[in-house]
Amino acid sequence: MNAEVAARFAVCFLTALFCGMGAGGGGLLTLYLSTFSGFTQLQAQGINLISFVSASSPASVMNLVKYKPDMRLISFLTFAGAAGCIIGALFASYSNQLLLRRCCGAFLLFTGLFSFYRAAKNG
Amino acid sequence: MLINFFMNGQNKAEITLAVSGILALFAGVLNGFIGTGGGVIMLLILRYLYKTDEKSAYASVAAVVLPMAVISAAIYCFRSPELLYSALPFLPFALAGGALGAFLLGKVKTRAVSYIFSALAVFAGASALVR
Repeated sequence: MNAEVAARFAVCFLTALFCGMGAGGGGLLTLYLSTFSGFTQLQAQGINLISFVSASSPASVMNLVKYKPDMRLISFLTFAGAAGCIIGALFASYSNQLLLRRCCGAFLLFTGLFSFYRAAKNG
Repeated sequence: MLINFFMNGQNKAEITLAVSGILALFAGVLNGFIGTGGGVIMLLILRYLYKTDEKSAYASVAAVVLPMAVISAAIYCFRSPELLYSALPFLPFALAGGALGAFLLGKVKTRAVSYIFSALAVFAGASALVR
């Protein structure tokens, strides 16, 4: 395993760690893979999504059992979100790679600033 | 008539539901389009529209975003089946990181983790915008 391959798995582990701790982290892997590992933006996004599913499954199950959130509200939001996912994913497959990268960067920047604000506010 | 509808306090629950549905749809579009996100918007919906407490909101967000990610990933794989093979080597690392993160939650200071994540996200996001 060369250094670059080891680094991509290390970034995957790190982003999954953030994800499991509820800090987010999804876009970091996407940008790492598209910038340093030679994956196209769309491939990087797909790998990130599949990794996210693996990373967030343990925490999601644990949280659902522990906190018992409102399942009716969750079902409604999931249904609306799922409809959006279909539109977004189909749109992504026909979009310009640079546009996807810029959007991903802008969103990650927003997420970082939002996360910083929340951490500072909750002190 | 439309103004009356919005002015009527009794419709507040319906308006909240409609707004949250539109925002959730947007969160889904974002999740599908850039392969991440959605969670922040869902968190805003739960915290500010439904006044859900912090821990329940996080639990709900995780429960909502997971099926969304499954659907987006399924469409990506359907459009490009070789993606599944590319993603396969990442799965053990993602699973191990996610499980360790869930285990450490509550045992380490999440504020410090949030600051580290924020710094990395701002740096990576800004880099992607200019490069």
